[in-house]
Amino acid sequence: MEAIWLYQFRLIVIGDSTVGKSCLIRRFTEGRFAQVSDPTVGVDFFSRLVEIEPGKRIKLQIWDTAGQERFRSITRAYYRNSVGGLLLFDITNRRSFQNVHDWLEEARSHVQPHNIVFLLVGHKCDLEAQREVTRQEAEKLAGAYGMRYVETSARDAINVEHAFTELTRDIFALVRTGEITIQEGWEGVKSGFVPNVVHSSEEVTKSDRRCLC
Amino acid sequence: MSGTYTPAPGGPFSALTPSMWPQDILAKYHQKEPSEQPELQYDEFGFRVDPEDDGKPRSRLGTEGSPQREDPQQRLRWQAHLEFTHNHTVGDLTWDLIDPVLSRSERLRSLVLGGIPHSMRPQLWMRLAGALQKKRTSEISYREIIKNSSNDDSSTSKQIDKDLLRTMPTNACFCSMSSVGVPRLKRVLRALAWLYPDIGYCQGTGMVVSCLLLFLEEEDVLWMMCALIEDLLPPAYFSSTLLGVQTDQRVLRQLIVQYLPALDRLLQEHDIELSLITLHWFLTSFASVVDIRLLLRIWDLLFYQGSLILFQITLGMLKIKEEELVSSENSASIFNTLSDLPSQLRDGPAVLGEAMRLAGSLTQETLEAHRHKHQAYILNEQAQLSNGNNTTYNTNLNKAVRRQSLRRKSTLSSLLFGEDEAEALKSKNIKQTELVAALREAITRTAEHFHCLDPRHSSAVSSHTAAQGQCSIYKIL
Repeated sequence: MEAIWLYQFRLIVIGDSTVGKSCLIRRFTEGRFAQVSDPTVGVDFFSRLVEIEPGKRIKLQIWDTAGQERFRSITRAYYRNSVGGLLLFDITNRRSFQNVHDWLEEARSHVQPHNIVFLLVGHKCDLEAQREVTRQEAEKLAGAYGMRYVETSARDAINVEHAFTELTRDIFALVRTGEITIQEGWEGVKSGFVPNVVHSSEEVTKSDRRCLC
Repeated sequence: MSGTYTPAPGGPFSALTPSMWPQDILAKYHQKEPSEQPELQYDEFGFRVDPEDDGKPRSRLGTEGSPQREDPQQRLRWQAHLEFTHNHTVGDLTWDLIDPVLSRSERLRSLVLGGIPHSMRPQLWMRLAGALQKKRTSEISYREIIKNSSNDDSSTSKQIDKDLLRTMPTNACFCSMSSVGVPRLKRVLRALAWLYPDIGYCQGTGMVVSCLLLFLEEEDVLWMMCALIEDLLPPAYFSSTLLGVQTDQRVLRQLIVQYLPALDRLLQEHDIELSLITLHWFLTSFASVVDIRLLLRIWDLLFYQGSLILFQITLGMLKIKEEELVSSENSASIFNTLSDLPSQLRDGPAVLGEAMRLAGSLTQETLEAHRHKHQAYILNEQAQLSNGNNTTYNTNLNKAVRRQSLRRKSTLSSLLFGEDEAEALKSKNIKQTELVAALREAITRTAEHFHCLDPRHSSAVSSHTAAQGQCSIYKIL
């Protein structure tokens, strides 16, 4: 039996090779840190429920992508069906920060006609001594793109929950205000099973309209 | 450390090529005191055995799947075949007397299908794949290749370095920088990137190389990779466009419609993009995807008949799990079942049996026809898509072609000396497709060039040019 959730959001995690995308997702979905993980070839899939308010659960479908350039022609196809994304760089690798712009361009040109909510993530923040990107400049860049910025560490479990939850809340807010709507043929947001006890009348009508179960 | 230690027959590391035996760990196994025994357990391939596996030690001594316990009958059949096909001399037959290329026959095929005795694999793989021939006829020596490719500073080398410990972390031969396999993996990957500039380093090839390194010497692994890239897999499998492996995913999808209609309906109903999962299987030829015992059986056939086996195995595996998939509740569980599917199938003979029952009649010719068609579709889609997104083509205009000539040569010779017509036609098809791919890339680059020059950055112009160029190529061919 499937757990009860209000909406399902599809997220994509992108960024250069070895910035720690798979490790971050594993920490979030499995609660553990893998010292090493295979290079992702193509795309991987994970899911987890998040409770954004008491009784309000969102199911996250998280797509892990390959960082190596040549796999972009494959990962590209998955932007369109995502409502949100984590754009990762490694704070100890300046190059991965410089490439953030390219990743964003790549994503933005492939989500059309939909919109995608991004969160900029400076990963591996436990390695403070090897830091090559300051928090200030990362915040400035995020601000310029109209994104939030969070620093995380999968190793020490710093801000991992926070990063995913914040992004989920931001998307949820946009769904409530109607800026993001459920659409036929788009996988980004789907409505799910609604428990009868905890929800506002507004959500009932919405889910009644869409729920096919 | 005194002298060299040898693994116990069937024991940890015993299936590896001797030069890969991790002497430091073997030394611990030879300690008398139980307290001195290594705290981690390994299987005959050097993979760490997880003690959490139901608490029972997974000793494979004498178990069915163990490659150590070679079936004496099967070994005898192989020996007989080699001696029978080799009739130059009387007396003891040694490997250097056996031809570098084994001629294909129904008998040989059925022997390969039955499995190659593990101790014969290094020699037979080299011969089946045509790697020994490449090694012997190469104009450049392995030493020279290594010397030319040993530049630490290139971005390719840096990328390779980052992945060295991520490739086979659970194997004693690849788990730390001081492990015996790591410098070999590094050299072979660099050598490949140097030999094939249009491929460079492709993540995923590391898995194939490291699996080969468990059983073959470093230089032989390089030639095996050359055989895979040049002959056994279609063109552009690992290249920066990944065109070959992407095409194969479309072909697979079409074959599923034909061979597994129930699964096809399920995938359509739940809108599951199968290529997300299977791209990895094809790109690594199942290395790091299936249990190594099954991998060895698949590779026996891969080196004999090429990429056809990848489709047959995939279809067979999907067939075995079809019922479970069809009864799945939701798309997420279907997706997960599909992702975990290969690692759960450990019974080699069952997988091979199903693969051949279901898709044994699939021919290379049919496969090539499908490939040809789908590759054209992909090229066409990409041409239409490439408005303003051309930045990803970071191909270098001045790239040298170091190792493609062999394929060209063999294509040419087969055309000249006309093996059989179908073969010649196939070669011609492949060559044409390669030409289209090369032309397409050239046009994209030209378009990109003018796009950059244009002060208004009018992307409409460049995409238009590319699309037009695309059309005219089709007309030419």
